[in-house]
Amino acid sequence: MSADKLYQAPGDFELEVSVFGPGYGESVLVHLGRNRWLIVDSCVDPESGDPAPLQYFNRIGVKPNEAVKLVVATHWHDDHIAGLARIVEQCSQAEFSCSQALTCKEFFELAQFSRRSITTRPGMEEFSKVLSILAERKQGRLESRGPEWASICKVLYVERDQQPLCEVTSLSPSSGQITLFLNQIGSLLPAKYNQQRRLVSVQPNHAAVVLWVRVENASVLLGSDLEETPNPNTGWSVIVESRNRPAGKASVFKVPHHGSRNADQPRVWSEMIEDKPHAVLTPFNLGLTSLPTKRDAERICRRTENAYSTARLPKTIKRNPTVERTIKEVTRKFRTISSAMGHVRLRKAVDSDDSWNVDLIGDALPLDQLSKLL
Amino acid sequence: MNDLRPEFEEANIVVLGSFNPEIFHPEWFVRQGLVREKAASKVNVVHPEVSSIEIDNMRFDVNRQRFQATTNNSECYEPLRDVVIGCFSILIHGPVRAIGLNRVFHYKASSEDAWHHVGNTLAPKQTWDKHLAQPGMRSLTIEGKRKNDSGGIVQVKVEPSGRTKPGIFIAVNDHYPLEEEKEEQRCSRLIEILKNNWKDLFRFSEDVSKSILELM
Amino acid sequence: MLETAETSFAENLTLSEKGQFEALSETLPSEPSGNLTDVWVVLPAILERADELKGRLIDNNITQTSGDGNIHAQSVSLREIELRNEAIRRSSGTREDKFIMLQRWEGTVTNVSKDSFVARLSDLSQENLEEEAEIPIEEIPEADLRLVEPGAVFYWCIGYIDRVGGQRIRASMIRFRRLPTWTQPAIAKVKAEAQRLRQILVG
Repeated sequence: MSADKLYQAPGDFELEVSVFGPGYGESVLVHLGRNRWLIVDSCVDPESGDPAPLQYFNRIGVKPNEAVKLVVATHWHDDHIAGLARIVEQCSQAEFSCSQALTCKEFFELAQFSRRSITTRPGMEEFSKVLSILAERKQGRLESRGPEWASICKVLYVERDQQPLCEVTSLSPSSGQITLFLNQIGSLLPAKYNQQRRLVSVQPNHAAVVLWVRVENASVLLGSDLEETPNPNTGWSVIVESRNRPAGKASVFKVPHHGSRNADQPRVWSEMIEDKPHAVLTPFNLGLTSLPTKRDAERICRRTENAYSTARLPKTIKRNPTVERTIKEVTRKFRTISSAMGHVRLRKAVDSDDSWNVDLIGDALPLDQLSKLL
Repeated sequence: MNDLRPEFEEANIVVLGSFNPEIFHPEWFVRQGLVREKAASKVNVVHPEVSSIEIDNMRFDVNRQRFQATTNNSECYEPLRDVVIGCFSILIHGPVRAIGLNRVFHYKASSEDAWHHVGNTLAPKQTWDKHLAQPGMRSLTIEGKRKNDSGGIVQVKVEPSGRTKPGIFIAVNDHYPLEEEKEEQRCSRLIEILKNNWKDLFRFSEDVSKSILELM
Repeated sequence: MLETAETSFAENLTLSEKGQFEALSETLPSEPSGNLTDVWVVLPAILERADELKGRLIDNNITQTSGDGNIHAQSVSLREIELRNEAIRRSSGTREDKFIMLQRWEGTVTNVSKDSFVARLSDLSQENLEEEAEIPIEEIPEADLRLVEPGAVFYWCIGYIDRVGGQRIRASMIRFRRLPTWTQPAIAKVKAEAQRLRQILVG
């Protein structure tokens, strides 16, 4: 497709789901119709250093300060919030939403500790900036309500008057998840005389916000990083079991937690998602195991032939031979995390039975192809 | 384009204020956890008026008005910044009024002609030929503001090198006045500058050096 | 005429004919090892002054007293100390080992096991390049071992050391950052700001 066609904004009655992922990081944009946009999480293009959503909006001629209605941070891990402060700043008319678990005193303190720490690094410091921007806005604008605190089956945004009608609902966290999160977060706070350290993301992620987006008769399930747990009051089971969750099945599924087995709940696929949906995942190249594993990719490909990954395997950087020799001698394992940015874009007309049009931009590729490379 | 490594390079941090030089003893640095416990150290002088010590490949020279931290070991550039942050985190109530981040390079020129060409380009001879016999650039200082307008000024100095001949000496001073009302706020700002701008200094000084060396 | 910055860069150590130093600006990254012209030589007067100073500054004690029991508030120029040092270095022909940097990263420890740790690495010469390594604990200097824990930050440099004797050694050096600890006042400030923001946003 030519660059001109590729970077045309969607029509008023055209639904779009765009997933960005550079191998470490993830961001999702949803066009809700009539130039109303939802941004979910943020990642940065490794080449330009710009937040992926803003870069895309710039290319398709969308003004974020007018068009974005809601920005959601599904959780605080740094692979989901790189560049978020810039997005919140520029999307000046948008509401902001994040997990209700983050209303606790401990989280606010953690955010401030990160901001004041010498160990500068995007991550919690980004969240801290977002909170400051929101606080300033709330103090400066009477109509500003402050964040929408997402929890199970809470409507975060709704358009009931002008077609296409749409609704964005959070499906998590449950009260059980919030309790688990609170138990986890206290241990991260530094104490007196502790040396300043960087915050390291803790797993599993209990506070992640899962979103259900409905535009007319089409639904999209954005799984964030939520993992399944044995406890029926937490994880995906509590969502599947919830009687108040929106009806219907999603035709697009942003696969949770980079396709990992820990986030897989077969009932989600059978009860919440259409047959042969369009499934998108973002790889995660950090930690002792990269995600998705080959088995993860194969499992998802068995469930749908319309499965995509936003990024390929990271390319090994070539360095000075002396440096490479020394790296081999000093380390047991060494690998690149960041990949080039990939973008999976799905579009279809609202209220149409047509299938989704798929554009694989940058390093995005079908998941079965990635599976062969793993 | 020249792809030279400098024959000599140095980074240092200068803080103006009011100091008590005699506290800056290697033991103090170790006790405060600012350097490794068994770091090699040397005391030139520790005195109420002036201290000059070397520790862990870094040198600290302090008199009553000036604190200076220096290293010419490139492995220690970031650790030097960290030690200074540590010092002023501890001395947070001490009066400070300005900080300068500095880099110094001495590059060997590929030839005398190339060396002359740099001087002739930066300070063209034709302006001076009619007044002086054998005019040559002795020193050039350019001052400007940072492009990101983060306050303060930057000075770049270019001279023939006194260390390596024929060679070019380039020095960059990134100067920030500290004008906050309360002393604690000035120290906090000093720490923020070191936290956020140290990397920028390196990028800028290397870009400037590259531009100058390209004249050869 | 340019006004010079106070914290200015390396001083041009050009001597006037009187042998005085003219500092171009107040805060010099005073550079005795810096840009010395051919004119500059070790001045006997300076050395003599430095020796005199050394004689009074005995054994690096913090307080110095003269024979009369008074502490002498000697007016000392840093320049004099540094020139003396430099003069001695030059006259003795001593050089220092030189480290030639080839690569450096800043790393964050994400996981520690018995004999190794995993770290996320940011290449300091390339923006947005992130890598990951598993490094054996034995690569860490003894003095840094107690600092190895999740969240700890370190620098890793690879390069060559050109020794004074002429030998070149390939080197890999890991150095953990020693950062300020959290003091009670700093913690109180953080908590106060957190409380303020929470009050506004949560109520």
